[in-house]
Amino acid sequence: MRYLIAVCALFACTSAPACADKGFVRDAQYAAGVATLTVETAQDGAVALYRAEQEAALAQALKDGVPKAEAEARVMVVRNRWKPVWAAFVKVRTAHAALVLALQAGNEGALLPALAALVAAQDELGRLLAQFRSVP
Amino acid sequence: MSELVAFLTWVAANAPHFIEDLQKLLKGWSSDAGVDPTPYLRAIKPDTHAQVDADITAALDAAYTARETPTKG
Repeated sequence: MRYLIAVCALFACTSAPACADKGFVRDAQYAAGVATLTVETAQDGAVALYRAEQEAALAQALKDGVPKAEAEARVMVVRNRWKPVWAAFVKVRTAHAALVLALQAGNEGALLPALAALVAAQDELGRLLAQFRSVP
Repeated sequence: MSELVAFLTWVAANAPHFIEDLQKLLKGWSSDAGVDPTPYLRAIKPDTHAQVDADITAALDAAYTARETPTKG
């Protein structure tokens, strides 16, 4: 948990204009790196959970002996519930790409807005993921 | 901020190796020694949920085709 707190502190610091000193670029590099690691791990977990939910819906449909159209509808319920999550992942990846681009281009003026956009996108994703249980 | 904590907690709960990887990366940030962040400065890989949809659709089709196909003998 302490590492999670450290990451949160990092994001909080890099989102504040007071942190815009010469160490800021390095902090931004680590913030981007942490986001790469975190979001890719989150995606793997989310995809595994998404698959498990669809498999469970299909298995239940087969067990209940419902017609194919009903089975498809049950699977579609799962897919529709997850749509906002996949859209949120796209937003996070887009924000992260903008931050990495700014870092690679040495565009320090773009770092702060890019970081703020990334944190906002991760917040939205976190809110959505909190609605789903953990991978069984 | 609470959403970010919830997000990271969710990630950690779903991937036990996550904390270890994160620890290595943060060591470099906090001590000027250790892991270089440069390898992580790349695009995030796209998610693979579309592949899941394709797999489940195929499984559903196969299951119902098998049900509807009369067995010989």
